[in-house]
Amino acid sequence: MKAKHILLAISLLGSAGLQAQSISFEKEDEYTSLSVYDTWEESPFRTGGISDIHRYVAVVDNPDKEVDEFLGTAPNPTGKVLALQRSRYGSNTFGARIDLPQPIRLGTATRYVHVLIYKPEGETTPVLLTALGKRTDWPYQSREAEQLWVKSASDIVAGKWNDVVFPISTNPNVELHSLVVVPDLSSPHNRTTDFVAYIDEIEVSDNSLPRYSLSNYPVNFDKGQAYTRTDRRFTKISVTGAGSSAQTISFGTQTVYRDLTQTHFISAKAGDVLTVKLSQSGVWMSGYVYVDWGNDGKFTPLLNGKVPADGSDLVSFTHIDGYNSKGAATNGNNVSNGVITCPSFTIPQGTPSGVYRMRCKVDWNCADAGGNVASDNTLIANGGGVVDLLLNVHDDEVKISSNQLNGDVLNTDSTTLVSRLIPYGKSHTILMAPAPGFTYKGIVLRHGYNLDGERFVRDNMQWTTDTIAASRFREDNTFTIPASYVNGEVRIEGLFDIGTGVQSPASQALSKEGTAVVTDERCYDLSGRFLTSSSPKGIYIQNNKKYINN
Amino acid sequence: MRKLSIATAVMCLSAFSMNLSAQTFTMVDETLPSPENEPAPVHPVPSKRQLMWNETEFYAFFHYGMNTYTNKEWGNGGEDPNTFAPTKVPNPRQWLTAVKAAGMKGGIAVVKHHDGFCLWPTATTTHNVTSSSNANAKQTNIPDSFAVAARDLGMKYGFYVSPWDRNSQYWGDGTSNYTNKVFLPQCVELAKFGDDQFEMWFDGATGGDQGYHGGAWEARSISNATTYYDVPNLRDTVHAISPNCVMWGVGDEARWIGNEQGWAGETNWAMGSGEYGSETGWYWKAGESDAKATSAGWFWHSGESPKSAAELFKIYLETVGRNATLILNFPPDKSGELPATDVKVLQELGTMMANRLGTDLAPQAKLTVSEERANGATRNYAIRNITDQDKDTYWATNDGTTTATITMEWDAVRDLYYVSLMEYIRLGQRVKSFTIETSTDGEHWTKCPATTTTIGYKRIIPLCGTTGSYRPVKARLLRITITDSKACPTLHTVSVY
Repeated sequence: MKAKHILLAISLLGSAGLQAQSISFEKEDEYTSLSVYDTWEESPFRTGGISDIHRYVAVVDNPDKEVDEFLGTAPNPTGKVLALQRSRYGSNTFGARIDLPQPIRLGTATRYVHVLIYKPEGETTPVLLTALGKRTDWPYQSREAEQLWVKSASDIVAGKWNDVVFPISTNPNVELHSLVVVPDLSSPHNRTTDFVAYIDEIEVSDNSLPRYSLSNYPVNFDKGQAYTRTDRRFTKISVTGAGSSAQTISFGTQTVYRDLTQTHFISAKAGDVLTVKLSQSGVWMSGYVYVDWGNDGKFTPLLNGKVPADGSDLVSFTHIDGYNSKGAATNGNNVSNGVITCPSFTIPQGTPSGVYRMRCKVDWNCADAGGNVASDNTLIANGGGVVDLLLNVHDDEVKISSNQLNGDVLNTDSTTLVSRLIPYGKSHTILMAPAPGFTYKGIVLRHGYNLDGERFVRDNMQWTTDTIAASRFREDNTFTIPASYVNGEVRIEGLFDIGTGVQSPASQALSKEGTAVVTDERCYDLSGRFLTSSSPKGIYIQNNKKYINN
Repeated sequence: MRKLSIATAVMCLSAFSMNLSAQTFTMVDETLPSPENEPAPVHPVPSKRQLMWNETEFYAFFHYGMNTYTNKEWGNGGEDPNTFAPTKVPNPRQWLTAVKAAGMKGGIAVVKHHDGFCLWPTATTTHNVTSSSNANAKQTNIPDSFAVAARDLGMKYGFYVSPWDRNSQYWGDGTSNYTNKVFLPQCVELAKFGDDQFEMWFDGATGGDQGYHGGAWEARSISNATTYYDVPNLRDTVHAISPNCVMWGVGDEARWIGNEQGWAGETNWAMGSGEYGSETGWYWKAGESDAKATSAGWFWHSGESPKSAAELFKIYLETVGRNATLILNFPPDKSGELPATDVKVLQELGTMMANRLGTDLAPQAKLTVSEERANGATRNYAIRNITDQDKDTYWATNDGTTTATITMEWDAVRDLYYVSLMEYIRLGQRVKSFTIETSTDGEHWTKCPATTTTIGYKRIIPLCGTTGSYRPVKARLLRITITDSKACPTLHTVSVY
């Protein structure tokens, strides 16, 4: 399916009865006029310092119809787009003005303006949407009143088409006559040249999620965003399953977003009922838990009435529009003694074992996993937080196997460990049996899921490799694999070697050349060949040191 | 793009000046002349009305109304209008005269609090002064008498009008009736009391508690104040009548400083939120600190007493002296006047302000500077501009120079207490950090221990390092080093006291 068709399909799905309005710049009747606008009252674009302001915009060929490597499709294959010359004489709110043939009336609902924006490499500031309009019941009022300003939640990716979503709301008596897209919200005071930004596929709909994302698991702010409030912090997650003790994860609070997926996971089985508690200093905040069941790189919240629908990635919440995920009424003040207790949820029966991205969010009245972006209730301003970790959905038993040359890995009963099942999360002891003439240097353990696949899928770590040196084995050549390594399939590679050669102590330097210390541990014959255990037996002297190869 | 008929194409070309046949964009090659060599603005910059508002610096808040007679801070809207019974005709001229003595340049009068009782004869509700049986109440028209007095006294003025209205039957009823029939018309009525207002104050309360609401006695709330009160069009309407009136709070033109204790951050940007603002904020929203000068609430309560002049002066230093404005609350009592104890402390504060910040030694100093910006055709950026008492002239460095040193030298050792710096914020807030050092001999320098980060509209540095003490530093020389700035620094005034 071409991207344009994808956009249309999503638009229709998201509209839910309200017709989407769109501007693709493919037809002239989609707008009545194109120009520029600057909220700065002393802008030369307003004072007449620059007179022919229309020259700063034009509908041109799409400069980038290429397939995006990450998406696997072209995010914007359309023919025409709007180009804007970002003038260094405009303020940080200078943008392209699109006058609409039909005004937008939002009513009482929040709607979402989607805009595709393309900026050259090196230009990564947030972008802004402004709208001009008037009240319908004030005939004397100009259409030029600024009705809203909405900043993008985060920087966009330069050199690519980005789908930026702006939540907009107005008084029901307001109609919007013009949209202004500001592609560069930074001050231009150090600029010596202008640049061209491109705008396309403007759509007003009820779809709060981007039509596509250029990254997995996005948040609606920069991931390095520091807390802006001192009185609120999201500090701890505690997950409890039926009959099991709580799994607790505490984390630092330097940044609003924390990615703990490479260090922390929650273990559970299909059918388990989990209760998540979020520790939060502050009041009038709510908790939200997501699991990406489809492993598609995003959290898709689906509601069936007031509660999560089957297959929803939003699995638990304490407050959305007055109700929690069990359908119970709430006022949203869900912090009790510093803890938000999210309603329990069940891992669906039949969920395949594997890792799933899990997100815990403290926010206010917001199903969007990226965080509330409503201008009067942003997650940042409210002191919320977002933490990602992995949910390990496992079976009771996991497969353990070994595969190597020059020796065997045995079970403790001395049978060869080829492949068997062992209990999940329990330690397991193995025995090393080198082939004659060989010894072992240790083992390499790969454990987790999809061991033959990429280590990271959608940024989710599937497996880990750990090397266990021989020195950590017992004298009887046994080693107990820690329980924490038995977190999925376990694959052992025994490291068997024909010998260690003739080695000198590692701490000894064999010679000095000038000021450089040569720390070669090995011994060489007169021809410069490295001596190993297969070299001729005998006693060798090097730099007044004796080495024995027996 | 769809093919156009020739006629349509000609029409569009003439209407939009666009080259419809262009396949790629051709950039406009345009360079604007700069005969005055003024530095480029660092955006965001304040609007003209925001600049004028900032210059008000220090002004009063007068919480007076139904709560004055019920001993409450938030009335529920069900109060009998007869309860509003001033023992004298309220006297805003006395209020403003008293605060002017303390050096304040204006005031904001509460004319409707959350109880909905209006202190003027409004057409929007009967819950106003005209419904009281009290003779003094019937003569009360606070907006009118306040505006007249302010103009007579050469002071700025504005009004606090609560959007939250616990008396109105319409408020929070799920319709637009309150905004359309009550609130917007009230704001228009108030704007018409003078086109020279400097600020309109909107408390952001969004309800939640039970209120009278025309007898319904319900707990109501709203979810989005901006859309419910139609703030963009409220702003547009008020500006059309009173163009220099800054809309506080939800109006988005000035921000709450984040506390009611009377302090702003030593680092304080005019963008962003809270005590410290944000260096990267994209629009100008300078901070206003609202603080109580008395011991009880915002409204007058029996037995209250004012803070001392020294306490109020410290608040001044920690607000006005930290790139915020200060709106200091003095509540009139049941007589409709400020209590004598408040008037006395205001006079003491005025004396203290005059004694401590009344004599600027900077004009007497010899000035040297590391760099002056090249002159323009008719204006210069010389260092002497910082002591000429003209806010429209300023010193600047050349583009690309973001550090600079200014040295002031007197002919003899002086007792120095404060240094006040003011950026030329019409071109944006620029300075990120600076230091202040003093010396008696020009060889040995002592660094001022105070935190010296942002400047903004005004920054007052106590040379002893603390706002709570009044101790001099003996010095013949004073050196200001700007150590980091977003762009070339611009200062219009530096004062030394």
